[in-house]
Amino acid sequence: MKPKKLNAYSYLVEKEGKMKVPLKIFASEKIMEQLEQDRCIQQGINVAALPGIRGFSIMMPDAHQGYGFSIGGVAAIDKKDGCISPGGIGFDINCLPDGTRILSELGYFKPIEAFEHEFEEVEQAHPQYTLKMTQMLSKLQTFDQEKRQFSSRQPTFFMKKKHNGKVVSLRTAQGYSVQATPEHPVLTEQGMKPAGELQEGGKVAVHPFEGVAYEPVAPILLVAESFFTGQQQSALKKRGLLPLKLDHPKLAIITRLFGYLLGDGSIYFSGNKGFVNAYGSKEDLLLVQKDLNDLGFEAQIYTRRRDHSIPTRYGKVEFTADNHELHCSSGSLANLFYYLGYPRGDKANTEYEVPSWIRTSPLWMKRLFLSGFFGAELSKPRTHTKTGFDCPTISINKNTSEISAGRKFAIQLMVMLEEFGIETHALQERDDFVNRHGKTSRLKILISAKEENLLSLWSKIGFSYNLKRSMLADFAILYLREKKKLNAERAEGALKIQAYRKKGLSLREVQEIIVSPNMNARFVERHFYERAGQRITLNFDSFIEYTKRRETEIKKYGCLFDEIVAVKTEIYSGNVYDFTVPETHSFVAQSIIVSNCGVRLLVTNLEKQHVYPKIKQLLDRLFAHIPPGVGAKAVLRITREEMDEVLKDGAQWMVKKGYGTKEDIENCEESGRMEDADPSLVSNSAKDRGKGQIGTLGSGNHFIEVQYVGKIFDKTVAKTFGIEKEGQVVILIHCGSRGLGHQVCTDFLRKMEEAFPEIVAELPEKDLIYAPSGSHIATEYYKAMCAAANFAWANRHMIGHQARIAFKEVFGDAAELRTVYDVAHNIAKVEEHVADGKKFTAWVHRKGATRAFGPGRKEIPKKYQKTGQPIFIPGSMGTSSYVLVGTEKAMQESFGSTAHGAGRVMSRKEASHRWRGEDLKADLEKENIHIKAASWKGITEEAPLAYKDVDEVVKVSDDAGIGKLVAQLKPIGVVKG
Amino acid sequence: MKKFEFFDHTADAMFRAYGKTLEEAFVNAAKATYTLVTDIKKVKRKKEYSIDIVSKKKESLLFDFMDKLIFLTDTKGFLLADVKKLSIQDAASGHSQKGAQKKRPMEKLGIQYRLRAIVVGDSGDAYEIKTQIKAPTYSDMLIKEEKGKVMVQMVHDI
Repeated sequence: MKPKKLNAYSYLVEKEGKMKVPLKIFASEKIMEQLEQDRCIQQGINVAALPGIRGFSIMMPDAHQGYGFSIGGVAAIDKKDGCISPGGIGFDINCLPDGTRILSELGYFKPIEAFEHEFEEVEQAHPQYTLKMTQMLSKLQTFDQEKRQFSSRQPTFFMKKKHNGKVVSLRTAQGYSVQATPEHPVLTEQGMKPAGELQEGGKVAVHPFEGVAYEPVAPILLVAESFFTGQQQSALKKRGLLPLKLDHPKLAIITRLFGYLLGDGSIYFSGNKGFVNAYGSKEDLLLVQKDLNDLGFEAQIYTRRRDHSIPTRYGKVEFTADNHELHCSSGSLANLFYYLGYPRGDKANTEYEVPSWIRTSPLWMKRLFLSGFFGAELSKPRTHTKTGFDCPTISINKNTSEISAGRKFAIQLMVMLEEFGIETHALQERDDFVNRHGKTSRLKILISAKEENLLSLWSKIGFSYNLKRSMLADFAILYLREKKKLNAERAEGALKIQAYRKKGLSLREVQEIIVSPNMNARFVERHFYERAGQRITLNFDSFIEYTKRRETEIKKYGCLFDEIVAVKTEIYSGNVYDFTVPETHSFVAQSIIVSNCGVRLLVTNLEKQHVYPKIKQLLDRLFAHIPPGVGAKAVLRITREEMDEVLKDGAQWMVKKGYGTKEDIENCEESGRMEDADPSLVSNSAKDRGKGQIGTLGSGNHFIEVQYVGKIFDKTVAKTFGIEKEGQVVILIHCGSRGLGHQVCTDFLRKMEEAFPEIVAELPEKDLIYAPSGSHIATEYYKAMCAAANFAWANRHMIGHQARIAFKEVFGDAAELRTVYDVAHNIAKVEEHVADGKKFTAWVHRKGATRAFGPGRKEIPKKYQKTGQPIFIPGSMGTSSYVLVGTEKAMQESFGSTAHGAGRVMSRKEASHRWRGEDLKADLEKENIHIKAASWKGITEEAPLAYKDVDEVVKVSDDAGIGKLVAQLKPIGVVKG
Repeated sequence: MKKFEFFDHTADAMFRAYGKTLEEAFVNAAKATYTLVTDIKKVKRKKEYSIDIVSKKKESLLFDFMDKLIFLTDTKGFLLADVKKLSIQDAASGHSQKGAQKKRPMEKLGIQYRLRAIVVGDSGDAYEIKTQIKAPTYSDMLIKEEKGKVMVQMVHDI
């Protein structure tokens, strides 16, 4: 874990262990020595292991040990909310009531509440809801809006809460229905929309395949450990596949593969080695490969052009085609299939059955076998007339000598189909070609083409490992439902016509009542005079046309839509549920944002020689107007209601109330107000603490410093910032959101720790707790943090205003103070960045690091668009501070961030032992630096030598190009809380 | 027996507090905290506040106890002179003074520990404030209990 030196100003800790990204440290050799003295490098490494982190974990030259995050740490964490819709019937599933069917990737469904048991860790998280985290065994069928396709994912969270209020009931034209809470998103052609906003006539996504209900499985032993010896045994044990029982979580996948391999696959042995092969289209073999990978086995897909010559009863058929084969060379897997009942050798010439463990297992497991087998052997949905479907067929080739075994197998399949309510016709047999073992016969199972039958076949069993056919089956299901509905409508119409006639209505009168697009005058006439049979309308789409239409839809959206025919709001009282299905884990790290502290720089029109004679008087006035603020000593008294306004509007509220100027806000990060702030998420305790502290400084490292411009490094940029000449007096304010920010932090620390005990258990430090994005707490925390940041801006704004008063008292009305900028250096923000060549939206965590945006970023004020944003790096008490400017390079190197100060090297305890406050004051006064402090102890703790050399820190920043030097500021007076 | 001592920590205040019981160690932790803030011996016993908190873990109980004190300081200007009374109730061992019948409702609520305390002290501008405590932290927090010997360790963000 030793950091490797990259160049004069940066080091790298390579990715290892749990780290998801490397750690980049901006430091010179001298600074590196200091960094290695405390735990901050380890903390940087811990941060690199957080889920969702991109690019690098970054450490600034002023870093030192913090809580969880090191101070001086930057991390860009992908904000993307992984929550996408697991489609029961294509709808998104947050907050759905009891009984809502949820489809798993394995083709079974369960009522949503039944999934609760699959979530292992259970914790009473919150009075209003139960939250569970999972090693959930089953994956859900989910729709990925970005890739526009269905895929399977494991949900990470399961939420249950009591709901007593409105739910929206939706019904679609083809008879799909769902209930959801009104705010709950549903997938429409325009993306996700809250259920409450949907209207009749709109369209929602549907998933025509329905699957079958889940039933529990008994732990019956299928393959014992003792069946295997040596290497094969350990290979299977390593993958957790021995002993293999009927309730083994991976058996579902094995069953599905078994079915497919029995159709388009082969297993053979050569000496000690075994091989599992599968044949099919490339895209389908990728699915087989994925399942094999899930079991822990590698498989390769080969493609080769082959000339085929197949003897059939109609003569030889010759053609050339690209053949795709999947090869998995694994004796243990081959043997496992063999013990499960897979035939050894040439299937056509070997007797085999549907293994009895499949025949006796619950329907959902039978379905997995059948859908796998159908992926290989069931004919595709097709019509022989415009709207009439062919009988689907299953073909089995057998050597004629083995025909009775073939019949037995076919009958077993037919019996299984019957269990799904699917009728078959008599088994057909005919002679087929001759293979190397002799004559062969073809057995054909014909499945009844009745509409109900077809719907059952395709919506309950369907096709696995055959994307084309399963898509066609989905089309066919919707097509049949539509056709059925229309037929039912016409049949009902016919009955009505007869009834009206009996009541004595004339044909004309009946026509007037009945005629509609689906029932014309001729239809009414026919049914008026005779009991005619009825058939589908002539203008009903052919299945071929319908397929083309639906294919366009799939290409455009990746899923199928159905029209909403009824939207009803109902009152529901009971439990509602929620899954979180993440694509990328992302989160807000809680520990990072403590007090949203930051720095504000004001320039004056005064010069050093004017100010110096009156410095003591000035410090007294500053101290009087800006108290350290112990125990509710706010300079401004506000009510709770006003507090909410401050939290919502930040520094802007202050200007509205007549404190400070508009220009102050224009030159403030975020214009002094973060939009996402929600005061209702800030606790009353936090508000109470904040109320007493507006316009106060706090203690510790917080201070106000009167300084003069010592040196200008970049005249043009300095001028843009309002720094005109050397000797000009400026004021630097360093403070934060005070007790309010800390209370917000403490409140959410507790909430997260209780909501995510599993996360806490995994963390190297409890203070590094986080909330996964998509969780309520993550969103709430971010909004509360924004409110705390607004308070911090309001506070620094107020302090700036008070400083202005103090200056005018001492130097008269001619004294002018203008805000250069106000930057937070303890904050998480939503920003666009690039990592690993990809653009992403990040929650950038800057913990004791300053944003350093270069020219052109939309986030910085107009005034600084050409130069980049101003950055202030305060030194320790009595040493220089620096003004830097943000760079383009910082955008690439450090997610637009640089250092924020000198950074401590010595403990407060040691510092206060080493120096006496009075001596320190005298020493500083010798250097013409005056101090006004609340306590002697406070002075010694902040002694300059207790900090890293700020000159060295800014040099690293300048050398690394992540913040270029503009001016040096030298202190003449300090006010400390 | 030493009541508390401070340790080196780069940025913040780390201390250990000791006691024969968990209660005593908590009392000393409160005193250690206010030793950072002011000269605790000079603080008059003029004001009293009662504290009642519940939690699932001892660590959170300590954290919340400190948080509550800091809250009092920030909102009322309270400075601690002493802890008059402090009891910690444990649902599992039921070692509360009031006996077994008190234990049930706590368990029902999913609460493991309950701390009740009366703290005394003063507020006002008369005292020198050495430093303000921003927040308690979980950093390096440790609660070690042996028979007749309890040690709690924590770090405050100052």
